[in-house]
Amino acid sequence: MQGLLEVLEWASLIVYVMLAILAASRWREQRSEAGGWLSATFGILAFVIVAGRFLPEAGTSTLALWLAKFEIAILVLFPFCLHRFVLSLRSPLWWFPQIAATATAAVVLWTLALPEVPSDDGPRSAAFGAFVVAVLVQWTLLSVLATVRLWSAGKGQPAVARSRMRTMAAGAAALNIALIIAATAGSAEDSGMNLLTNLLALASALLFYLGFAPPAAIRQYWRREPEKALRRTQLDLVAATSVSEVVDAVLSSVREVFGAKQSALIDHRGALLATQGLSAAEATGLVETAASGDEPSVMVVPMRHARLVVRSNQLMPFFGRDEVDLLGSLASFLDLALERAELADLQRAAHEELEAASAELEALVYGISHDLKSPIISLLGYVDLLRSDYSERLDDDGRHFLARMEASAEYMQDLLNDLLELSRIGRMQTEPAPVDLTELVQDVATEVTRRFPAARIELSALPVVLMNPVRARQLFTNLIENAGRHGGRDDITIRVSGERTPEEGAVLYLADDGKGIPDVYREKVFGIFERLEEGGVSRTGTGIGLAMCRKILEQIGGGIDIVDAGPGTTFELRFPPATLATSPNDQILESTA
Amino acid sequence: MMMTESKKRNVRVLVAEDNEDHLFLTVRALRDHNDGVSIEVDAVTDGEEALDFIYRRGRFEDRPRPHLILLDVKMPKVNGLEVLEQLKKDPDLRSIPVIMLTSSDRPEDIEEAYRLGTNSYVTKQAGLNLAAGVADLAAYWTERSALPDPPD
Repeated sequence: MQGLLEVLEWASLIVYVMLAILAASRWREQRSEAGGWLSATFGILAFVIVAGRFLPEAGTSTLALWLAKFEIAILVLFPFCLHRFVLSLRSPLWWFPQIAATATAAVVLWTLALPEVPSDDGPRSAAFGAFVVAVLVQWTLLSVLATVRLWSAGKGQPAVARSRMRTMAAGAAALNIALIIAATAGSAEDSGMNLLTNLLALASALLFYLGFAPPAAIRQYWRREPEKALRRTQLDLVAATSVSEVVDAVLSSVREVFGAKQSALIDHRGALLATQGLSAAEATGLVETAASGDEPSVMVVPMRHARLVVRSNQLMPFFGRDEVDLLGSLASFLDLALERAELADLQRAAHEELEAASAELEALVYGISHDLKSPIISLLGYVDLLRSDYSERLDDDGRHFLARMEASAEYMQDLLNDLLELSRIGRMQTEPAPVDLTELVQDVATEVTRRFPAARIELSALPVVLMNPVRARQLFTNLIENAGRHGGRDDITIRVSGERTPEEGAVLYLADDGKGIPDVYREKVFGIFERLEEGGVSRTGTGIGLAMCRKILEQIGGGIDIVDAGPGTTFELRFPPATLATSPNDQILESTA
Repeated sequence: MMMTESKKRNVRVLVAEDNEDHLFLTVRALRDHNDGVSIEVDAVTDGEEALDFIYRRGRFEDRPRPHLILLDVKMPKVNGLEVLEQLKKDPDLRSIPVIMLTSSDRPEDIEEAYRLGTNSYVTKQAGLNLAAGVADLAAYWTERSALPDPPD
């Protein structure tokens, strides 16, 4: 039994001394008021325990008496220091500070005025008994007050800070109970009581230690909840696609995980992005406070793209080191997310602007085409009436003029329709469908050869592509008509062939044996309204056809160019891999010509 | 077989069109069409007038209801689609066939017109001679199709 007590006493002694050393060294580093009071608190405990161990039992000599009195006086200061430590973290409650100071001063004076200090097992005088009660009252009053306040201060605190504060509160409570038991038990010979007191003292020491300097494993255990929350926030940040989503994710996390009463996010230009728990005007004040560094509870987390200013409560700088670390790790995520979201926002804005401009253009084109079409319809209508009602009264010249009027009006109508069509390509998103180009080109060829009866169209097997079927028809109609119209000979031969490359998709060639297009014009012909021949009404087309072809192919990620191959004109049409239907038609490119 | 003028079926057509040239050409084509039917044409130049005519209000109080209505889409005051919507919502009037005759070939307009219950949508454009187009239309709708008697 005695051995166990010895061990317990030594263990408590070691823990309290370590605590005192740790608190003192931390106070030397940080020099905070709270650190000072806590350092004093633990120092007192260590001193009292060491003194109780190594100083001689209270004897009759004056020195021994004063040593004992001094020891008690120091012990009485313990709850006062603890109380002051809590006070330095939280605003004082009512008139307790005065009471605490007065009570402590009274008890210290009383200690120094004691005529005698009985030894542990010696008999106690009534006066000394009264003194013991006074010490207990003073101690318990202050200690309970500090414990309750420390405990209740943990409410609403981030997890680690809360756990640390409550662990320390439990330590203070355990010590208080140990003291009460020791003082009232009377005889030190009651070994059961002695054991309990020693156990409580050791527990108290360990609790203080855990609260003040929790080891890594405990810290990690306490941190698991905030870390989980933090990971959720990080996921939110990764998923966020706009600055406002980023801001929402971060500020709510700052409130929940870090117990921050107020926070503000300022972008790299100094503009306020968002606030939590305060108005924009107050946020400016908060930022200024943060810049001055006067208030330790206001922290700035600097990042590349923004600054996060957080006001936690006064306890945070002391208990919240873990949370501050976590905040730092959140910041780097926030930084990346903000950068990405800003880019996304910019892109969205640009896209919206483009959409708006496109819609405006569409409306304009429709408006114009409608308004321009109306007079042409009238013109053609009157030409028709003129011809039906007045034909006999016109001579050949007159009828020729009528025919030219009609041709011009029709040409203008074609122009308008082509322009309208060109503006529609790309704006009208339609579902692509598999288009069998072999079938399609055959079809177009039949149609076109009606207008150019001497023309010959040869084709080898062509692939099936995924694209808008109407556009595909436009593409080949324009190209084949173009050859018929501009080839320079009636008996023109147009050869359509294709080859398929797995990486690059398919390349089709549309070659004629006409007069060809000189190098210098090979790019120009794809421009809108570009024609190589004199503009006129008869056979030259609107000059929009090739521009339309290029737009159609570019729309699906392909392209069209004129290449050097043979005497006439050869168009190279490129279809990207995505447009190629992976189908049993794969072998279709094997030439069947 | 020869038909006398009096034996011809009489079809009343209302044309709503704000462009006076188009109106002239349309009315002329309808009046010129006299194969088997005799077409009586009334013309109005905006949507409000079209509604007044159909509801027999104001100066149209005494006019009988038409068998067939041709509506332009773009018209002042009340546009053709709005006229169409009102007519087709009215249980008394929705039996009158309505043909949208317009130069708008916007897919949105076409879809909207059919959604609102048009009976046909004909575009005046792309080489189509307006008079010939209207003649075709008249042949189909007044001659070959059966039309209900207009509601009183």
